[in-house]
Amino acid sequence: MMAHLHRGLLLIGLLLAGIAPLSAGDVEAGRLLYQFGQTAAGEPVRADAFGGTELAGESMACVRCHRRSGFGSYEGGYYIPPITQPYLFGGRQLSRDDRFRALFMQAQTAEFRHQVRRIRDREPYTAETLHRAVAEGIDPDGRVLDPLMPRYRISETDLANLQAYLETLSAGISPGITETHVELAVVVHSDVPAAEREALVGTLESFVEWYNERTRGDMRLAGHSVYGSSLYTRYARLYRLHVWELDGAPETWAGQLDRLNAERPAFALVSGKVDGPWIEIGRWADRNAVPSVFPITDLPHEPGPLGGYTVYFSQGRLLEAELMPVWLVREGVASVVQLVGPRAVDQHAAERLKLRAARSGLQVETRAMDQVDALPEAGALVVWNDVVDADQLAAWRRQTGAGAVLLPAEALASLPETLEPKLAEALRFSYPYALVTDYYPERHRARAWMNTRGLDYAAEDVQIRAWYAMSMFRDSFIHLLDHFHRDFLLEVLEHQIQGSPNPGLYPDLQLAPEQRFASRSGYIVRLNPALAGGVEPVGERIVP
Amino acid sequence: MNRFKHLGPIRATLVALLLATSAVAEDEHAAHRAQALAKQNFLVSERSYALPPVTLVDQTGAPVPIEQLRTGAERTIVSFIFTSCAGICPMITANVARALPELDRIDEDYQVVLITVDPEFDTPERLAEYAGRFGTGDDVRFLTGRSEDVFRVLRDLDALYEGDNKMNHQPVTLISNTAPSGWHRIDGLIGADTLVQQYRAVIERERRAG
Repeated sequence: MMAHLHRGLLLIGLLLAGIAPLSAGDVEAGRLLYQFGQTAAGEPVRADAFGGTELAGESMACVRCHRRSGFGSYEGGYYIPPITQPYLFGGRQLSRDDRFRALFMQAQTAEFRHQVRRIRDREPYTAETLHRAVAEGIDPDGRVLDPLMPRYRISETDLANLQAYLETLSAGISPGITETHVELAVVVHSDVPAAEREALVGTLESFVEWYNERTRGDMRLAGHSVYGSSLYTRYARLYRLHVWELDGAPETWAGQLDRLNAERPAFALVSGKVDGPWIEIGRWADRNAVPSVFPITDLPHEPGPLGGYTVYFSQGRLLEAELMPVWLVREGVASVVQLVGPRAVDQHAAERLKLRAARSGLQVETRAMDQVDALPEAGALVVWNDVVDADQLAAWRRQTGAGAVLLPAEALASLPETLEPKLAEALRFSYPYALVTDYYPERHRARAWMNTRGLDYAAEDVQIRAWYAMSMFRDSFIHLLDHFHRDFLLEVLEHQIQGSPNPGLYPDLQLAPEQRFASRSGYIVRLNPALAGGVEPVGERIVP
Repeated sequence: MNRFKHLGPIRATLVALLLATSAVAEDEHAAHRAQALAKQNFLVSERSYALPPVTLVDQTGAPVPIEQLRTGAERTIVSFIFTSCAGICPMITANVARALPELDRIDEDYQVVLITVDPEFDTPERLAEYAGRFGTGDDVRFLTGRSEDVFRVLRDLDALYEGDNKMNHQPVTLISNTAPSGWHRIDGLIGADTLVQQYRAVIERERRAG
């Protein structure tokens, strides 16, 4: 139903824009071909690929190189051109600015340099010339396409479907953009403690104010900026931040988001925090194709196809649940008892630990928090719960004879001042963060920025995460120029994270095409009050 | 420009533009297609790379001391990929896979090793899944490991990418030869036919050198 409605709106949009749909093909079937290499007959599409190798299916899907947005990519010194609707079927509007990012890529082969600088006109594609390009690798002007472009063995039906899809691909810009502004939203739940909410929303609002001041200045001086930023000024948009406040239980969030988004569509969600899993919001973002940039959460959703639309700092508690068994096996521990609290994040963590442990032969006994009688003996005890009672921990440890008691990093904040020494010695924490004792210069830049804006460090971790999310959005958004497409934003973001300094909350932040968890590693730590941060790693960094 | 940094001042270098036509052409279009797809630009050079004393792991999780690149077989083919690479890695892997039967015919004692440039994402499980996509079975070893170790190997084999950005990584193929620490290096994306041809050239040269 939604798909039909969507398609109808799209067609109306195209007609209004004066673009007559050329093809009688099926857009949805075309999408499956483009994104997953699946033909109308449900079979993998076949092609002759580089070097003469015949390949089939997903690895030959257009999306692999041209990406979901159709804007292409530059990878490995190869320039892959855009194949969006305006690019293929519209009259070409040659713009140096469109090549700007490619022109200044760090790694350029001679071939890449030539391709990027060779801007030339070409006839718009028709059904016939598209067929020739896809099947024979020849463009409308008779030029032979690069050998990296596969030559497809494709039926008339599939070709018509593909054309129908390409005629919609990044055809009109995404919602949330006006002549002057880009609309952004931060999702916050009413249960988030006031201090954290203030730190989060305050930082974002301060960033927006700061950015808008500077951008207005650049706009007034268009064409005269000292550092060349005027090149981008004509594409710049001022930011408008909406606070989308959610109430009540997670199952009602999607409905609330629908209403908020209908009122004023957001181009992207930036940062955000709820009391509980981000799962419902992540799914909503995937369904609605709204990018969600670095929400602050312990429990992400399973990203949708092609990476989905949410870029996370890490897998949060799920990452912690993977760090633990890797470390335990390394330590020679053979069995573990895990006690699991009622929260979703605890349940998911326990499930993940079980899965991960099974792969390495670690025995796991899982008990709910209210079934702690007669605990079996085990090499280690893991407790997933929001409340940590030191006396109880000590009792469970004695019952199981566990050498180590493992808790998530969250528990570090709620430990009592004094602990029984034996227990303190046995405590270990999964720690999916950067060590405070490691040096990250970018962290000082974040703090300096907060200083200049008069923000105090009430909740520095939240503030730096919010600052980082906005910074990464800003650096990516400007590279869109006036191609305001949400899919394209995510693709630029994947690149941008790679080249940007890490503000030191996580050991490493990296992305690649369709990767959605920027940090993938962490430590097991123990208490050491003598050190900054109060913990020290036991063993080296773990990449599960 | 990056490519030219590999040009050794003394060792012989050769720029090859290959225009090969398929032997069996079904029709005129097929011939053109094959010709276009076989067009390759690459650069070869002779190199000497010492290997660092590190141990990586393969797609089954088995440890692989990196000196096995020289001791595991008489000759080793090495290239670099990552599993979420959008453009060229599937082509590298597919062409390596396609070269295997022919390599089997011309040599008995060789191994093929593909090293990930994204070790923290490419776990042994991910590499096993990736290998499955190309049906290379046990014939190709995919290596990952501790980030520091993998990057030492990349640095010592002059395969680091620029700007700390793996999307800048460029296609490199190495074939070990009998010179101490000797490698025949091919910069550029090459097809299965070229890989086989280059491999033959390495053997030929050694035979002539006696």
